[in-house]
Amino acid sequence: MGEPNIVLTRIDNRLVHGQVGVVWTSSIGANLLLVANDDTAADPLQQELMSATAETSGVGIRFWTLQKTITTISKASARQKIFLVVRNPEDVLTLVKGGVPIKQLNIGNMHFSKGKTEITKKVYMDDTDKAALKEIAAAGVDVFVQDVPEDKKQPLEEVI
Amino acid sequence: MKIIVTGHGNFASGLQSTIKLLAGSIPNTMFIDFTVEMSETDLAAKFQQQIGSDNILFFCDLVGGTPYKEAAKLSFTDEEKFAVVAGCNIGSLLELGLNQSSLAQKSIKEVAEEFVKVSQSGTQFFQHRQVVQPQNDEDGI
Repeated sequence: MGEPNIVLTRIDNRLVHGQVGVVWTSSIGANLLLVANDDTAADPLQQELMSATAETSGVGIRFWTLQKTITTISKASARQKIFLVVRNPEDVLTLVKGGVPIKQLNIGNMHFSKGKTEITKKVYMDDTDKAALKEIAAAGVDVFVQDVPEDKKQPLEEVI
Repeated sequence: MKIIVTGHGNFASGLQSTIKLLAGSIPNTMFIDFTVEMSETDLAAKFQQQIGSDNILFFCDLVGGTPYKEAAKLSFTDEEKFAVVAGCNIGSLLELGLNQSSLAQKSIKEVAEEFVKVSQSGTQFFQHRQVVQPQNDEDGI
C-alpha cells in the first residue's frame, strides 16, 4: 500500500504495441505494464495480442478499466515499476481526477482521425483533447510530447 | 502458400533488397511495409488485398508490434489458413522460401514452426574453433 510507483504514463491510441512494449518499457525500466482502458478490459483478443509483447519483454501486464485503476492502483507493491498506458487525454483526466498519482505524462501516438489537426507528425488533436490536456497540466502533471525515448521532450505549452 | 513479409518502417522492402542481392527473388512472397503515415486500418487493408485461396504465412519483425497484431487478428479468425511468426531471420526466409516444395504437404502451422526452428538454428555468435580433420581414413575419407 501507499503511493504506487508509476514510472511513466503514456497516451497512445495503439495502447501496447512494438514501440511501447519493447522500446519504452525497457528504456524506462518498467516491470509492469498497466493498460487502463475500458474497451480492452472487456476484449480477450486485444489482451492476448498485447500480452505477447509483455511476455517477450519479461514484464507483467494488467488490463484494467479506468474505475478499477482508480480504486486499485494504490495496492501496487513498491517493487512494481508501473508503466501506465492510456488511449486518450480524456481517460488520463478521469484517472487524475480519480486520484491516480500521475506525475509525468508522455503524449505518444495520437494518430489522425476526422476533425483533428496536426500538432506533430504523430500527434493530432481536437479541442476536447486540448482542453483535457490543459486541465491535466493545471493539476500539476508534467505533460510533454515525445514519440521515442531518444527524442527531446516537447512541453505541452510549446505545442498547443 | 503465400508468404507476406511485414514490419515497421522499411523492414519488408529492406529484406526484399537483401533477397534481391542474394537470390533474385522468392516465389509467392509479398513485402508490405508499415510506414509512419499508415494507420493499422491501412495495413489491415493491404493484408486483405492479398487474401485469396492460398494459405498465408505472415513473417513479422516483432512480437506484439502492430504488423504482428494485425496478422494475428486474421489468424484468430482462421488458424488453418493464416499463421504468424515474428523475430524470424533472413536465413529462414531464404532456406524455406526457396524450398517451398518441401513445405507443400505441411499445414500452415507446421510451416510456421519450421520458420522458427530454422531461424533459431541460424541465430548464433561467432566463437573461434580449431578445425579438426579426421585422421583415420580406414572407413572412407
